[in-house]
Order: sequence, then C-alpha cells, then structure tokens
Amino acid sequence: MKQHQSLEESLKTYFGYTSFRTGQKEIIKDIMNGKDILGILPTGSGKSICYQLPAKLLEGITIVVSPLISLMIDQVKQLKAANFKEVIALNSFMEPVERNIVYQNLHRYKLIYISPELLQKQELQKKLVQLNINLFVIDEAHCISQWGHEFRPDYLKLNTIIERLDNPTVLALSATAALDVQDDISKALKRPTITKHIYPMDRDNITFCVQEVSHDHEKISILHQLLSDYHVPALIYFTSRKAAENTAQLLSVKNPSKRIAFYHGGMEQIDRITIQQQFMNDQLDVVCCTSAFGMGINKSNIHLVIHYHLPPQLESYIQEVGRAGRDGASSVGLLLISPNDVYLPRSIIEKELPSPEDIGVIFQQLLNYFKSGEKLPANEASIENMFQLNEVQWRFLRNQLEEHGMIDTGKIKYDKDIWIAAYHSIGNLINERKLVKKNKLNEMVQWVFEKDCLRKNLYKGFQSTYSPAAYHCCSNCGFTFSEWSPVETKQNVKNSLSWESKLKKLLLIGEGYEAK
Amino acid sequence: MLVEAIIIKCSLNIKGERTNSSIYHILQGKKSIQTVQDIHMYQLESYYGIFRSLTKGVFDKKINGLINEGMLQQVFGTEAFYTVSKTGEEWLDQQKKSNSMINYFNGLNYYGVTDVFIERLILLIQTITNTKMNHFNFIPVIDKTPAENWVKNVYHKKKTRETEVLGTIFNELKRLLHDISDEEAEMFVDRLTSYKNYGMNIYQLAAKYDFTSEDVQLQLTGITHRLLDLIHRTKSDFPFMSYILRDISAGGYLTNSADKTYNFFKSGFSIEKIAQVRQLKENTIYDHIVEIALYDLNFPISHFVNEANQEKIIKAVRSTKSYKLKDIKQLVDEDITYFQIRLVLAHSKNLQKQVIK
Ligand SMILES: [Zn+2]
Repeated sequence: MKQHQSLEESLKTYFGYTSFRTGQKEIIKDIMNGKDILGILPTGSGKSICYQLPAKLLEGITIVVSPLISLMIDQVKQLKAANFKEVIALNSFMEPVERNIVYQNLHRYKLIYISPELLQKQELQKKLVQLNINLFVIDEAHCISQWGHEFRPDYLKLNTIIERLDNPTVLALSATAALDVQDDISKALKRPTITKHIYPMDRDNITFCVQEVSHDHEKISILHQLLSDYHVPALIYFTSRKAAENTAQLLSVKNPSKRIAFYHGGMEQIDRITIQQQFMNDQLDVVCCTSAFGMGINKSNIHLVIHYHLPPQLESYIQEVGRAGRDGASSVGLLLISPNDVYLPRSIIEKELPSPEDIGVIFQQLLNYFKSGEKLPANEASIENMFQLNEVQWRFLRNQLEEHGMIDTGKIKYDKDIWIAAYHSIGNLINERKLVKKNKLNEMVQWVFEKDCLRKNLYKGFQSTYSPAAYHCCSNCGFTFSEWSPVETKQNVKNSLSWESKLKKLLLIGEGYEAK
Repeated sequence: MLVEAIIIKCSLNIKGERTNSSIYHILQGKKSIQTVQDIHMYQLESYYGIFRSLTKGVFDKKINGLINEGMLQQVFGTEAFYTVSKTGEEWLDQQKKSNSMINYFNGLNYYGVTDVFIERLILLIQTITNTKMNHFNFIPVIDKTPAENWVKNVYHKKKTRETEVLGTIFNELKRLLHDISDEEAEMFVDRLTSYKNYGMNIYQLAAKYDFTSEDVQLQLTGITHRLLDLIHRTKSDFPFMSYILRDISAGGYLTNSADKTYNFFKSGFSIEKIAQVRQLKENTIYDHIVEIALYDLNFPISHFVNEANQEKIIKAVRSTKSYKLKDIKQLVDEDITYFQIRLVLAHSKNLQKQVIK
C-alpha cells in the first residue's frame, strides 16, 4: 500500500473526485486493512469506487465478479477514459484468439472484471491461481441468495474459487439486500464474522406516487401531460423493448419540443452509449428504457422516474426510482398501473425458467445424444435452438446438468439413478424459484395497492427506520402533481441551424472556443 | 424504401437465375467465390457488401413484404427464385427518380474501405475536438481497436495543431457535402460526435428523417461511397481525407486463409509448395487463387493461363449466354482446365458488360 498519500488525495489523483460519498471511505479503509466486507449501499452512491480505488492502491490484482456484462464493459470504458488503463472485462463473448492473448497477459492488469459463468472455467481458474490476487469483489452479491430477486447458481460456487485463490480479501456489494439475504451472503461465503457496512436506501427527496388507470392509452395521456407541464430530465421504465420504442415515438410526436429517445438491451453497444452520453450531456430530455438502462449512469438532475409497467419486485423498483434526485432536489417516482398489468410480470416468471415438461423432453433428447455417442454442439446458441430454450433458460439448465454430473465439458454421462434424481431435483428447484418470484411480485402488487403510506411500506423489508419526506411524502399521504414545483432545466431551443453551421459548430470553428 | 429498391434492382438483373439468398449474400458482402462471381455476372458490383450488418431475418422480412406487394413473383415451380413483376419495375423507376441515392453505391470498390474510413473520421473528430478543449475524459463512440490505434497515432503527430486540423477537416467536408443533397449532408453531420455533443444513433436518425433504421444504415453507406468517389476523383483537393485513406489496404477483403496463400504466392511459392506447407489440398489453394484474382485487379493471371488461352476463354464466354462453366468448358480446348476458366472469369471484371453490349 502506498502510504504517502491520504485516501482523499489518492481519490483526487486517480479519479478526480474531491471527496468521498457516504460509506465509501469507511469501506475502503477496512479493505486496505484486509477485512472482509459486506457493503450495502444504495444505487448511485458510487459503489464501484469502493473497489476501484483499492485496486489502484493495493499490490496485486483485484477481481470483480459481476453478472451484468454490459455494465462491466461500460465501466471499463469509463475507467479507460479516466486514464485507468490496467483494466479489462473478461466474458464469454470474446473471440478465442483475443481471449488467448488476454489470458497470457493477465498479470499486466490491476482490475479484472469477470462474468460468473466464465469464472467457472478451469482454463481461466488455472491462470488465476498463478496470479497475486489481493481483493475479490462480488458485485450484485444478492445473486448468491436463493431468496434474492436475482439468484445466480454460479454465485454459490464463488466460495470454492475464493479458497483456491488463497483467500484474498472479500468485498461483497449490493444495492438492495433484505435482511435474510444479507445472512445468506455471509453464510454462502463462509464468512460468519464478515464486517457489515449497511447504509439506508430510503430517499427523503423522492415523492412516491401510484396512479391507477383503466387502459394503456390513459397512461400515454398522463405521460403527455406531465412532459408538457414539467421540463425536468425524466426516465420512463418499460418491461418490454417494443413498448419502450413505440412510446418514445408516440411521445416525440405528442411533445415535439421534448427530445425523447429509447434505450434497451437489444441495441448495439455503440447506439446505447450514444443515448447514455446524450442524456448525461443534457442533449436528451426523456429516455424510454428497460431495466437495462441506468446501471452505471451518473446523472444527478433526473427529477422524474415513471414506471409504465409494473416492476417484478420491490428491489428493482427501489433501484430504478432511486436514480431520481441524486442532487437532493425534489423528485417524483410515478408508477402507473392498469388492471391487466399484473399479467405481464406473471407470464415472464412462467417463461423465465424451463417448465417441468421441457425438462422431460430435454432429458429424452440428451439420452438420444448419449446413445449416439455424440458430444453436445460447442455453440451455445445451437444448443438453445435444439432444446428450444432461451439463453437464460439454457444457462440455468446447463448449470444444473453440470451440478448433477450429467454433462461435463459438453460430454454426456449417463447413469439412470442419477438422472432420475436430477430430474426431480431440477423440477423442485424450478418450482421453488417460481414461488420465490411470485412472492416477490405479490409484495410489489401489495405495495402498489397499499392504502397506508407508500414510503413507510416500501422500505420496511430492508431496514427498520426511514427518514421523513423532505418535500412531499406520497400519493397516499395526499400528494398530487398540482403541488409539485420541481427545479426545472432550461427549455431547449430547437436547433434549426443549417448543416454547414452545425458542422462549423461541432468542429469548434470560430470565436468562443478556447485555443490551446 | 431504399433496401427494398435495391433488392428489386438486384432481382431485376438476376432475372430469377439465382435464389434470393444470393442477393442477401451480395448485400451482406459474403466472401465467397460464388457471390463475387454473381456480382460480376449480373453487374451488381455497386451493391456488394453495402449492408454488412444485414441479418437474414430482416432480409427475409423485406422479401416477404415485396412478395405481398406483388413486386416480386415466384418463378414457376421453384421455391426461392423470384423475378420482378411489372409493378415492381415501375415502382423501381419511380424510386430512382425520387431518390438519387440508389446510384451512389460503389460497393466492390470500397469494400473494406468504407467502414474504416468513416470510423477513423468519426473518432478523430471526437478526439481532436475534446483534446482541443482540454477534455481528456470522454467515452469514444467507436470501440474498434484498429481505428483507436490509428487515431492515437495521428493525435500524437497533430496534437499541438488541433485548430488547424479541425479547420482543414471543416473545409474539406464542407466542399464534399455541398456535392450531395442538403438532407443527406445534414444526416451525415447529425451523426458526428464532438466535444460535449454526442451524435445521433441510427434509431434517432431514423426517427428524425422518417426512414427505417435499415434505410438509415444504407443511406450512410451510400453517402460515404459518394464522398469517397469525390475524394478519389480529385485527391489534391482533399489532402486530409486522402491522408485518412492513405494506408487503408484493399487486402482487408480476402478471407484469412486466402490472404495467407497470397503471401506465400507473393514470395514465389508454387501451388504445390503452398499446399504442402499449409497442409491443405491443392484444390483449396486454387480456390484461394481465384478469390485473390476476384479482388486484386493487378493479379498476374497469365502466371496460370497464357494470353492465347485467355482469349479463347473470353471468346467462349461471349458465345455462351448461360455463363455456365460447363458450357464454356465444352467450347474451349480440352487442355484448358476449370480452374483456368474460373480464373479468367474472376479476373475479367468487365467481361459481362462487354458480353451484353
Ligand atoms: Zn407517505
């Protein structure tokens, strides 16, 4: 550790920030002293600095396990832009040639992001044990818990890997982990005495508002009205990509003075980065997006977050609505709900994992494969196609099949008794997961139809107390939009320059651009 | 409707002699001998590789749309062969009148050049405008290593002269863009990213100009081809653009394997020797040679076919209408091989035009 600089000075040197945000310094100090940490910090509190700064300061390498590949890639880009060059994201989408080169040079990096699937690969593990790894970070640590909203079976195996790596300091991070989930994390990591840094996630400057409507077109007219009344940067969350695209188009027509775009996981990386950066730069007023948006985004003056669809659980809602009002100014989280809205998340839960019937058919196909003596196709997409599963479903099933010893690096192993046991155990697991998700959805629905204070009931499963509202509390405590007067941004003037003037401006030709 | 118009144009030339996936391969720029021969045979060189990111799903949707509109009709008794109906032909004529873009493309010539050129230009503008404002902390809009390396290199050479470089880029781009329509120029400018000003993505351009996102991608390619034509016509008028283009090699369009063969060939290895060293079949190496001849205008095919035999093959090609290898083979001396015929076909890019006229 470089002792000659204070943590504040290092923060300034490496990341350009002048002060720490809540929790960061305490966590970093403990890490530098080799303590294992469970950190629960609300969205937007700068979780990543908690390991990025130690990664710079500690000798050896920091590993970050994160299930969100696009977030990893974004972070790497941002770090590189901030001149932190010894960083890389490893994921299964890398070309074999590229991966080989990177694997040979892993020792050159200070910070390595890895997806949980890839971390299971022996090839990579063998490389990692040869390295000097001093910090092992588990991002989205709630994925380790069966009761968490995003259970990832791969996460349960992290403990074994941590042991293989000679027990580096562990930092488990999450933005939302209910109390039972926190216990699960320390158990699964076999660290019962893990030091906990838990920061409250309630936000006193956000006003919660639930509005019942009878139909989708009513939602559109509410959106249209709000965007006409207020000029504040806004996010509108959707469950489906198509709905995000269509609504963006519709609203652009209805609110021509607003600059509205859409964003979802189905877009090319470059098209997504463009939207993120435009929004950060105030070139956009409204982004219609799916839950893929917002992770890693750091815009402080979002003052309105609207949910067009019902989120699948309170955890997602808290994270998404928490992107509002980072600047402390009065902000509103509006959730629109129509009578049929609960069916969409329900059908997503049903489709998220393969059904017991699917499993039966797939076992039969596997047996045929085994009898023919063939290996499974190397290409994951063709397996998904063969079994008629989507990517998430196949990832889940492959993990289970490996767990039960039915497949090993593409080879099928047959033992009748094991297969029968596996069939039942996988079936049970699927039912269990569906039940967890349905319960989560029920909690969400209950909150939406809550008659009592929304603020009080939103946070009760996560923390014992909450601060009273700084502005207006919630729609159940009497808030209506007529009393909302947020800090508004300047109404943009529609740019009607000729292409030539635009080109001149963007190439910084003419007066007013500081020359070097 | 640009994608549709180009599909109709291709179908018109192909006259139902190829399946519609051959059109897909042409637009997508498939590196196969069949596809490259198709573009020469049906004079579709301009459309080769103009839509690299086109997916089969999107293409099939467009084809189905055209069938439903009655513009394409199935060749009787076949499954995937289509000809253009009268309606389709009339519609294409209208489109040609209203959209000059259809004539902008120069696909084969700029295959492998288009993307590199535009990526370099976009990233360079983003980089230099940011560094001029002493802002070094920006997220690059192009995340391809070759473009990044090139820009880094240029940046190090020009970093004290940002204002001058930007002035030059402005003057050259202004002159180039005045040669296309105002709407096209505006679209090109809207896409550029500079200091604190991120350009529009394809969906935003689609919404602004009321095109499909596929048409936007094609439009941008068409505009770039047009600009490249202008630059090539008078290189001395566009020194900076020529500088960006200077070291973009045409070799980029050979398959890796053919490229290796080419390197061996250039160092004087014989076919047998190359096959031996690379542990490949001789026939595979012959395929590579044909592929090389397809792309490299300066490839010395006389190394494999003497001038007299080239003449004979060309004569035979002219007297067959079908353009089939078998038919040509029957019209030439027995000692002329299929490989030699393919080589001559591959190399004589203007052959088909001469045949028809
Ligand atoms: Zn309340």
